[in-house]
Amino acid sequence: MDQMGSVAAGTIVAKNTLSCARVTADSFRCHHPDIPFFVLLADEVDGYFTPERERFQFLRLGELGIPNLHRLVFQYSRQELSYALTPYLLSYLLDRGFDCAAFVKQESLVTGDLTPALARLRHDSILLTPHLLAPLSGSGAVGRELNILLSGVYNGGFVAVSSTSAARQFLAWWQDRLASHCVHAVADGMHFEQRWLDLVPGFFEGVHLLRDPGMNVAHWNLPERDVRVDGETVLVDGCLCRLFRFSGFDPEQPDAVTRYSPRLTMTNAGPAAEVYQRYLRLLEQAGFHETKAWPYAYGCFEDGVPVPDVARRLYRSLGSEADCFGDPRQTGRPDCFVEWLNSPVDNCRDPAKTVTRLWKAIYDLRPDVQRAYPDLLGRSRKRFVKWSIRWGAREHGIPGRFLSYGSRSR
Amino acid sequence: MTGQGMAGVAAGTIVAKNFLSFARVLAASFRRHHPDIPLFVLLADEVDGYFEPGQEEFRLLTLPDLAIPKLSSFVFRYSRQQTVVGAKPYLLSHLLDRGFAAVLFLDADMLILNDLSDLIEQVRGHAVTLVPHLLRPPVGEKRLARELNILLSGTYNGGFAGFANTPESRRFLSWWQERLYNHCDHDVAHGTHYDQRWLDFAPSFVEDFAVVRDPGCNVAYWNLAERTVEIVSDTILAGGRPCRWFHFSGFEPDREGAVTRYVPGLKMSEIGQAAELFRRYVALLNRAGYQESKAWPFGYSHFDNGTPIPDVARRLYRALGPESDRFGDPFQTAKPGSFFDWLNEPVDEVRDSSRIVTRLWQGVYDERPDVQRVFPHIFGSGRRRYLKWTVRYGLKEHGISERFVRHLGGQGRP
Repeated sequence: MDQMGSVAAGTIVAKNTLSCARVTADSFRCHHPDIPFFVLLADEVDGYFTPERERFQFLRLGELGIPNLHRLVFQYSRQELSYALTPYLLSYLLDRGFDCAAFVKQESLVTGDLTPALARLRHDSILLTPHLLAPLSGSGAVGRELNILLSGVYNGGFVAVSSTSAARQFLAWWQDRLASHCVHAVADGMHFEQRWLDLVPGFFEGVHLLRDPGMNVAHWNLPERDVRVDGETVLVDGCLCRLFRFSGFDPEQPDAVTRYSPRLTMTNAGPAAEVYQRYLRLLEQAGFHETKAWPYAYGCFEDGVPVPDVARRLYRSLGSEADCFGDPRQTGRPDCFVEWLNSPVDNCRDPAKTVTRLWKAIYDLRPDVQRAYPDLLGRSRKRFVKWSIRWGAREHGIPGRFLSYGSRSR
Repeated sequence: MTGQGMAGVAAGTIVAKNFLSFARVLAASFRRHHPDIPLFVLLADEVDGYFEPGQEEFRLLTLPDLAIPKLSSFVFRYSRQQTVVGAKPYLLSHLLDRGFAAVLFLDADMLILNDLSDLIEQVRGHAVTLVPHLLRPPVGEKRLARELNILLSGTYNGGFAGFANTPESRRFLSWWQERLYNHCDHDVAHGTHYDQRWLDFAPSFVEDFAVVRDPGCNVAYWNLAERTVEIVSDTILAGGRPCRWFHFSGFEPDREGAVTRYVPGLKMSEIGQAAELFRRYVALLNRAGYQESKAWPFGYSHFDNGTPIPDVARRLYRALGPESDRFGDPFQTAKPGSFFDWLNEPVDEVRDSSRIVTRLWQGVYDERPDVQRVFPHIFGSGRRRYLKWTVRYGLKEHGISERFVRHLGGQGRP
């Protein structure tokens, strides 16, 4: 440990998954009482809990010194934001002077000592874990492999770095890409923060792939890994399980292993089901039922109206042009983002026929709607506006504020 | 450098015969730097009298030389390009089986410009050695688009692969063969890009995996921005280092001024001194018979009755999986129960031959959401209009022979 220098670890949550962070942090501390564990809140506390009473080091978003933070926060959904912050958290920990920093994704249980893996950072700069360690066989093999090719060969649930220049370059690059491209668009080569990692072994020196089958055990490799539970100890292929990941597990659907693979159930998961049971109990003890409904602070404009996803997407597509709106969550100013969304795309001022920028963006996303109303700014105009009120608002979760130009009153 | 260290090494490439001139240029340039290393050219095609294998200056292999299971089924299921790349892991296994300790695969559209000894040493020392498309993050406005493009096509370029004969490399090769036997597709939205995207798994599946970090290796349009080519008298540099080989991926000698078909906007005038390499390459290709060989036909493009095999027929065949075994050789048309007959069979029971929708045309329909929207009920009210469409547009759009038009009163069979 001494040769490794100082180590810190951390995770990122919005407050509705605070219970996950508590479980991850507690289990980490249990195996590494001397390594500080940080929880970055990708959200606002808003009085829902008392950070000082938590058993982890609490970090607010504002402490990370992220440039254009309001832009990052607004352009992403809750899930996208927490993923996009991964390289910022790791950089922050190195900036604080730690020699090594490890990220553990929120839905995890540390079941063993991670320091043998982290010890690689004495010589290497970046540690990644492959989703799979060997080719799959059997009937579902090709489908599962293709699925991994689309989501990324390496899992974003555990990433560790040392304070070398290669690691710094990696983090700066990852931040740059995630500043605008932390989205789920697999057909375009993106799967949140994760798919970008496929490029890392080519781009940076000192990348080490962890091949310990006890690291990052989860639904994508469970069929190949022989899990045994022996009291408190979890074994995988006869080795100590160090990090178990509950990706896609919903405590309110406790019979399903993960929402990503309906084939896996607690009845066919073997002894691994016991690990899920244990995790479920820990989550409940950590306040799962209390925290799960805590609202996302960045889910609404300042006046409480929910931000529709399409507004985030439009904002993101504007890039640095969006800076002219200042904080996009602010409303009530004539030059605010909401006003821009609600402004008509052309000179038409007839309320029954006005297509606003927001609705044009929805139109552009919907080939089916385009076919139904092919001449948007001509003959189809009126019928599209009708569709937007009758169906579009519901299908896209669009609040009344964005419904038709004329009835939008201040 | 060509002494002991190079013993037991072989190189290989694969072409259909329309690319024979490329293989000749590669082989000659490779031989110039490594006369002691045999280079094998696998012909993923039939010779059909177009050239004389014995007169070539390389060792020619043909598909039956390799251990490809049910060969006629393999070559039937793929287009020319897919067959050429799909045979790659079989060629590599074959060379290892012949007793070579290490093998290098080189794409035919490469020109070796320098000694490869360091690379060959690396290949000998690791189970699997691959070349990433990019060695560092690109900068500039197009950096994201360039990276996303690589993410969709694969981190490592399939134009090069180095395999040492180890249990790990053999295991990886048999897995790659298995995947390419059925999934050598270009369907990036679903995670395939011919043979190449599968290689993204190499670092996960192979512990003794190495990356080629010499920027002089595999210089090509996708990394030219970071590897400026300089020609200083006899020396060719890329990014300030000796250029080991240039990869003319997507280059079409007949399209003057265009660098690669994969980036239609990229002009020779924009790539600096690299353009001179392209000029030299064209001269070499022409001397190697490019003009003569470029139009040589693919030996597996027709049924044995001369009917061209439409791509959709290849896909339908592949979709049948092991069921397709009952047809025997799918190229054969004369025997009853042939695949050709199966394609021409009606999907439902209609007496009137002018109203028959065959399996082939059902296959076309299933691949065309736009056509489905126009004719939503081809077994009901839309049947006649769909059949009209097949004759008027379908034949041309899908490159389908009129021998597949049963409803014209003609038969699928001559």
